[in-house]
This record gives sequence, C-alpha cells and structure tokens, in this order.
Amino acid sequence: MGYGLKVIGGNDTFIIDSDLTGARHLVVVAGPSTSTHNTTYTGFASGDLIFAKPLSGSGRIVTSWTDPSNPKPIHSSNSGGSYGYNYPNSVQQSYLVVRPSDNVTATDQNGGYGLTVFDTNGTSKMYDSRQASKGLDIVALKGQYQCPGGMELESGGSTTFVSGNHIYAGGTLTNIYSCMNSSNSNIFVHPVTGHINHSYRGYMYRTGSTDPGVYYFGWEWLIIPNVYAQFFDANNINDLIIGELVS
Amino acid sequence: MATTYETPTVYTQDAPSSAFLGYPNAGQYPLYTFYGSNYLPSRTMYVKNGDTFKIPLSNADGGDGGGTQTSVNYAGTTGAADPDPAEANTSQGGNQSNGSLWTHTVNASATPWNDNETKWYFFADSGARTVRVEVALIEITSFAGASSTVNQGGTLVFTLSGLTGLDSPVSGNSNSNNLYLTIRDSSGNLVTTSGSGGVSWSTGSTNNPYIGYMRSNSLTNTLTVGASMSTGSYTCRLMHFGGAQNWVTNVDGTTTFSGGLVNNPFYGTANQLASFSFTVNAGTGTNTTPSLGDNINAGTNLSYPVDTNSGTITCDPTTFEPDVFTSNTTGSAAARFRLKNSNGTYPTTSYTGVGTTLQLTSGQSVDFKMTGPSGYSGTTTGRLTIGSVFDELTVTTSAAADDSDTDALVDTSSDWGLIIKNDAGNQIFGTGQKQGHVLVAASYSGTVASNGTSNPITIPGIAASENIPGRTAILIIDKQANTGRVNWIVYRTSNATTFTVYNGNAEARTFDYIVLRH
Repeated sequence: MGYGLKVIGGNDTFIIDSDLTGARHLVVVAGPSTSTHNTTYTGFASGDLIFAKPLSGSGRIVTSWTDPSNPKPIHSSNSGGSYGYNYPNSVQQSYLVVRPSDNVTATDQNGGYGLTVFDTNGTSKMYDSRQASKGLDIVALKGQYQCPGGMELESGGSTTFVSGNHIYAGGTLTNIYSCMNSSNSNIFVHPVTGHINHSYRGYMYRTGSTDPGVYYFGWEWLIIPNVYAQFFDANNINDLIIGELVS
Repeated sequence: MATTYETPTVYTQDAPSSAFLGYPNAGQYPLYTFYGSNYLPSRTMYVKNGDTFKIPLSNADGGDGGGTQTSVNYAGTTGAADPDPAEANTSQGGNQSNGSLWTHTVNASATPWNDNETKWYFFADSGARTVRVEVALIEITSFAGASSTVNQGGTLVFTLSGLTGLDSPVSGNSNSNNLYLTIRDSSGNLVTTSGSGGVSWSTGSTNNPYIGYMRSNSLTNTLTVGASMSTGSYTCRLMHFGGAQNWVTNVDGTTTFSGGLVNNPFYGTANQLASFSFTVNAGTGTNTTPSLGDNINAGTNLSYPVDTNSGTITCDPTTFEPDVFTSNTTGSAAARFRLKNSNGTYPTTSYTGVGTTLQLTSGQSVDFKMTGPSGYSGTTTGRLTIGSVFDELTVTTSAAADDSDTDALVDTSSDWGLIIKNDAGNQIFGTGQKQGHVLVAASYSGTVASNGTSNPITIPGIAASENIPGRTAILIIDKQANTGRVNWIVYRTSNATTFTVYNGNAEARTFDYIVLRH
C-alpha cells in the first residue's frame, strides 16, 4: 500500500483497507424507523441496504424485493389462509437505511472533525466519520445455503426451531438488525393454470430463555386450488448478515 | 373349483303354455336371463363341472304383474335326456311353493350333460304363466401359455382348446358370451395396472385393459408384460362369466345387486375354469451411459448443492426400460434423482432418494442432485446408475478460512488500533467492530436461462483468498415482479475473484447483486 489507511482488528477482523479500490463503507443514513406494511422504506435509494428487526420483541420479518428500487416490508398476521401457511405471519419492522459512503450527502453528523479516507481517485469517500453518528458492527454471518430453512415456528408451546437456522445467538436483541436484502416475499398466481406459489425468506427473532437469537426461515408453498398443495423448505439463497447498531 | 351358486329369484311370466310339454308355442316359456342384453344374453347362467346351482322360482310379481298361485310347477325339460332338478319327481314333474329352490349338481361325465346344457320349464296359474331356465356347462380340454417365462416388455400367448358349452358371440355386442383372462401375482392379488408397469391383452377390455377375453371363435390371446412390471411369479386365470351374488339385470330392465359383489362376475375365483403359472423375468437390453459432468471443488462452501442432468438416455431395444437408482459412494452425498421426459415435463416432480428404483423409458433423461460435504476438507460422492452403467460426481471442500462465518467475528480485547467515536463519546467505527464495505452493487447484464448459469461476475479489489463467505457476502436480488419460485445459487469460483449465478427458476430471469467485504 503506497498510501491510505488499513486497519485490521484481532482475529484478522476487517475494518478498512485503502487497497480495496472501490470499497465503500456502509453508513447508517436513516433510522431506526418504523415500517409500514407494503410501503417503500422511507429514505431508501437504489443501491442501499436495509437492516431491520421486529419493532418489538420476537417475530418474523420479511421484505419484498419484486421491485428492487422499491423494496417493501410485508407484515401479515395471517398465518393460515385457505391452504394453511400461505402468509409469512410477519411483524412490523424497525429498520435502518444503510448506504455506501460515496452516495452519502450528510457531512456533519459528528461535528466538523474526524477521519476521512478517500479512494485512489482522491474524491470518492471510502469512509468519512462525519457522515453518521451511528455505526453498524457486523456480529454474525451465514454463507449461502448453510441454513436448511423451514418455518421456524413456535406453536402451542412446542418448539420447532432448527439449530441449523440459528444465525445469531443472544438474548438481548434490542440493537440487532438483519440485512433484509437477503430476504424475499413473493406471491405468484399463474395467469393460465391458476396455480399459486408463495415464497418467503427472512429472519425470525426469538426471545426468552431457550436458544434466543436470530434464526433464518424460508419456505415455498405451491398450491393448485382444490387439487394440490405442497410445502417445501427453502435454503438461504443469499449470504445472511447480522449487525448491531452502535450509537 | 366346484362352486355352489344360488341365483336371484326367477319369476314366471305372463305367457300361457301350450298343451304339449316340451313343445312350447312362440312366446311361451320365455327364457329368463339376468343379463339379457349384454354379458349373458342367451343363457340363465354358466356353470362348470362339479358346480351346484340353486334357482328359486316364484309366481309372485316379478315385474309383469305376477300371478295368483302361491306355488310353481316344474313341467320338465325339452328332452328326457336333459338333467332335471333334484326336486323333480320321477315323472319329470313337481310342485313347490313360491321361492323354493330347484337345484342340481353338475356331473359332466353323466350322459344328460353330453350336450352341455339343460333347459327347465316352469308354469303356474294353470299354465297362464310360464318361464324357462337354461343352464350351460362350460368345458375345456386345455389352457396354457406358450412359455412358463416372459421378460419384462415381452409377450406371452395363451391358447385354449377343447371348448364346449360357450355360446357364440352376439354380433355387435363385444361383451356377450366371453371368457375372461386375468393375472394375479404370487400373493393372489389381481394385477390391475396396465401399460408399462402392468399387463395388457391383444383382445381385451377397453376400459380395463388388464382383463382379456376369449370367445368361442377366438381361442388365443396375447399378453403383453410391461417393461417395468415387477418381476416374479404370476398366474393367468381363465374364467366364465357370472355366478351367484353378482349384480343382475331384472326382467323389467332395472339393475340390482344381490348380496353384493362377493364374487366378481368377470374374475371372481368361483368362476375359474383353468389357470397357468408363469414367471416374469427382468428385461434385457442396453442403454447409454449417464454423464453428470466434472467433479466440483466447492472451496469453503459447505453443503454445496449440486443440480445436474444425465443427458438423454437411449435404450436398445427402445422397449427396454432399465432400472434407475442413486447411491452415496462417499460421505453423506444425499444423492437423489427424478426422471425427465424429452419434452421437459416430469412423470413425478419430486426427487427419489437412495433405496428406491424407478424405470426409465428410452429418450428420457435424469435430473440428479447431491450435496457437498457439510464440513471443511471433506468429500462426498454420489452415483447415478442406469441399467448396468453409472456415473459418479465428487464434491470436495477446502480447509476452513481463518474467520469462519459461523464463529465469533471479532476480537474485542485488543487495546490498540483505530477507534472513531461519535459526539456522545460512543464508538461507531474501528477496532473491535467488524465493518462492512460495499465492493459492487449492480444489475446483471442480460438474462440467465432457466437451469442456466450466468457469465462470471468479477468482485473488484479483493484477493482470491477473500472470495469466501467469511470475508465477502454476495446478495442476489430477484427482480421479477410476478414469478414463481425464487431459486438462485451462487457459485464462487475457486482460487479466483469471480462468481457465477445458477438460475434454478422455471424461466429466464435477471437479477441485481451486491457484494460486501466485511
């Protein structure tokens, strides 16, 4: 490295590296905010990431990305429907909008002092401590396809949580947010055959004394009305990222 | 086997008899049939040697108003040589109350049965009401198949000889006066599967192809054994139609059941004339070898999913249907498969795991799935066997990265490095906090075909060793507004800074992607 800044923590923890041309720090530019069902996240712009958690306590959270420029949280208290678990039974979210540093316009969130790291072009910011008064500490990760999926449902007091879906272990989830860009929520009705496909992938927050933390859930639900219905577990097709909001 | 039949009640009809027994005038002593217009139009019933038949007669209302007498008279037969009911007197007459049984046990070697039939005449109300019962004796000399073995996909000819007593078919009525052929397995269960998994006949039922026919003018029938029919011992049974406790057609044309289908009129065991045992052996032939592609180095991707296809399999002869199954040669490969038709459809969409065998038809291919090792530095190998040939696929994983994606991520005990705090004095960046940086966020150029793979996508800036889940995260965002399943698989290129994306969806799609360094 001819110039710049490289910070590596213990256990080779990545913090910043000027050698990574084009790398842009993730800046918390908005939130925590409260989501509205099927309504675009306030403050979201294309290229942003959404990190979210249940507004209070436990529950599933899920986001529709059928229009990537217009992601929408899906809240559905309906866990039944005509064919059983048609809907994700997901809850209202508390969310953060996280943006690559060179797209952030704010410049004075922590006073007029601090640290700025520019890219090799001398103008694009890899990091600027003035852009936000909050940070996001990545506390857990899961690689693609490492979670088997399923409903992750507590029903009637019996626990059906799957250890393989356990991403983050911890009883205090107050500031633990999950990357919703890894989520999806689709309902598809075939225009000709009429068959219906529900697809959900997201996070389940579990509180209490037994294996609390953040779990992945994912399932597909294929329905041919009055003929056939089949439930499939769905692995995580994306890497899963859990961050802790620090402020 | 000898059987005792008891028919539903036979009723006298409003048809006056002549003065001379044995020579009825037209319209008198009408034949009583239970199946007058279809299966048994010209006889009251068929029997075989040793059978005992019992026929209740009544002068009550049988659909034409009924008579006044409470008894029925037996008027004899057309000829003295015909067998009489046991209840007849020595003068070939007799009288019994309504509903009483008129019975006889068949002795085929007795002279009265030489013509394979008997006709009984009954009257009541001083001859104003009459009816006739005809019973025919079915006899055969031999019944056999051309061989005691047949291969899957092969044929077996059955031949009947020395048939007497069966009436000729009625023109235009393919159901009339048939003998029936059925196949039972070694447990005695009727084979009701037709087509490639079962049986069919050169002359047989359209609606139930597993039932064959023989007639007085058609004494051979060819059995086709399906290419995927289970091997083992079977028996072909030859049966006459009818018998007691079957459904019947009443005189007034209505259809009723009498005692339920205790004995099926087409293939009930009580009606069996003869049988022939044979063995179905495995079919013979060859097929092309499946190809599962190159072995895979999954790097540090654990439980790596493999989804591939064997390529089209052709068989020689094309009727040959080889067994298909999977096995786990090394490790927990979870090898599984499904058959795929040449037009892209599936006989069954779900996958079949180890321990289950299906039969492939020439021209089909096989979708094959397996799973890579669940741990680092591991190997799993799955095998797909089709007929006598197979292919194997091996997935290996490399050693774990230093910062495993499932372990605690940071060291918070260090007292050196860089820390950035906010105005409140709280750390928001630096040592002790793992940071995320976007390396690239873009839309894929073009679309990826269903079951296709994208062009390689380069992750900028990183070293090849950082192309692992523990150091970079790859997010695929499905862009279709109204589609079915969402199924993308990222393949990180081993020892390189690229990845590809497999489209496991049912149609061509495109996607957005974000890559983070963390």
